[in-house]
Amino acid sequence: MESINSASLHAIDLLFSGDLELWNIIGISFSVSLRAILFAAPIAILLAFIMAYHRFAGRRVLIYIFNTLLSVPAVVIGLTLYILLSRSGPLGNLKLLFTQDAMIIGQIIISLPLILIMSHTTFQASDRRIWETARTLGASRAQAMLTVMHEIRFGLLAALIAGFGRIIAEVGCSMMVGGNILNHTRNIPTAIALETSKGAFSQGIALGLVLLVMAMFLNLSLSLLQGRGEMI
Amino acid sequence: MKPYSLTFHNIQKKFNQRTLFSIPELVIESGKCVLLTGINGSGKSTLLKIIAGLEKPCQEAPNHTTIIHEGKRLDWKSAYKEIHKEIIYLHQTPLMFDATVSDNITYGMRKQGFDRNTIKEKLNIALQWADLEQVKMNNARQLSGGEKQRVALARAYVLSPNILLLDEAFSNMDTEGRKRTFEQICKLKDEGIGIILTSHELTQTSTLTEEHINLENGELRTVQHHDNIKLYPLNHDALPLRQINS
Repeated sequence: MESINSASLHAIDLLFSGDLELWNIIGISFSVSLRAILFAAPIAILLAFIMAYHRFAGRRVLIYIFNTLLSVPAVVIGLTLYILLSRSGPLGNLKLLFTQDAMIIGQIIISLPLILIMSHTTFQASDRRIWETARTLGASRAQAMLTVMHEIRFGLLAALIAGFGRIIAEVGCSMMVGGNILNHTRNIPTAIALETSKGAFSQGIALGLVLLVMAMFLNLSLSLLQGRGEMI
Repeated sequence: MKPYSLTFHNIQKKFNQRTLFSIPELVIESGKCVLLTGINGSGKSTLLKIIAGLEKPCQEAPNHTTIIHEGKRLDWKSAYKEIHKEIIYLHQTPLMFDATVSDNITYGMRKQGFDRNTIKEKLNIALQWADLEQVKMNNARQLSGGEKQRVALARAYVLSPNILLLDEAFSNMDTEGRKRTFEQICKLKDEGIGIILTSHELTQTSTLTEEHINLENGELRTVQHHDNIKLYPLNHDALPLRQINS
């Protein structure tokens, strides 16, 4: 087992020497999570808007369901998805298990409730005059919705960043439905778990550093955006 | 501008089974300025929003709101598909989009698909009309209350509406701001736009308005003198005035 100091130095060396395997893992992680956010965000934001701006039967039940989904552990989502996608499962014929697509589906399910609930709160807190002004000036419902979204863009961006932050560091679901296959489904959190179990800390620390830098960057962006949101 | 009129029948609004107001008939005509008064909470803003199509009236049978537009009697929902671009509502405190003054003024034209040249032409006219040329590239949210009101009026002016609904247009403004807003409203009226405005400034608006209606205890009445309030509309015998259920 390496000492922490030598492992850390080796980790930095791995990062800056452009270690192909390491950067491949980082690439897979970002590619999967960004695609998941790309799918989850429009659905979540649209649902959040409908739930905030329209009164319909079952609205409160929907909010309650999404709030509950928010606290479901990623590993439980992974387990459910594993059962559904496994060869004997109802969706087994899609042959998605241990693919990046399965990881994306899992990450969509994890991030969607978070983005939805945060966006819903942002829409609820938005000034109703934005919608009314847009509509009275002749904007269609869709145009008025886009105007509202533009006016509260910092709050919505914060929701997206929070959603991305949750899935990029999520290990349980990715491990179960991705299978941690090198150069295919191994992402940062699953690689860290594997390397640590092998006692090879260098790569784990290097990947941990990437996550740490990314978390710092996301949090900094978030607080800057929130600050900007308060100003306007 | 050709003569234009809208006749609303059965405008009723309820909140939690309490009737806020019930108006058997309301006629709005182009080129005419009507002052709408009423105590706080009487439902003035709600009434204006219903007229603008921003809020739904109570649609319980048999009291469906109907609107007579160009000789056709339409229900509230289908009427608004046809007329919502002809009526513009201005909030008591105008909402400025997080954009420049020019972008705010052109917002409605862009959303309604006006062509670029028309937008440019109308923008220049509106900037001059509202005396906003000096601040056209400023963020509209950084303007004073009076300037925001002028942007809001210019934003409506470029769309040439038939009806303009002004909710407390003179509030939160200094004397100069009020004077300028007053002048702008006069110009809009001269162009043949029908205006309903709510205001507590009875003296200032008396020279602008031809008619004064008062919303009190859920009923709309015409005021001939301040101490002489008659049921609105005058000579109305087609529909019985609904009593308040509160």
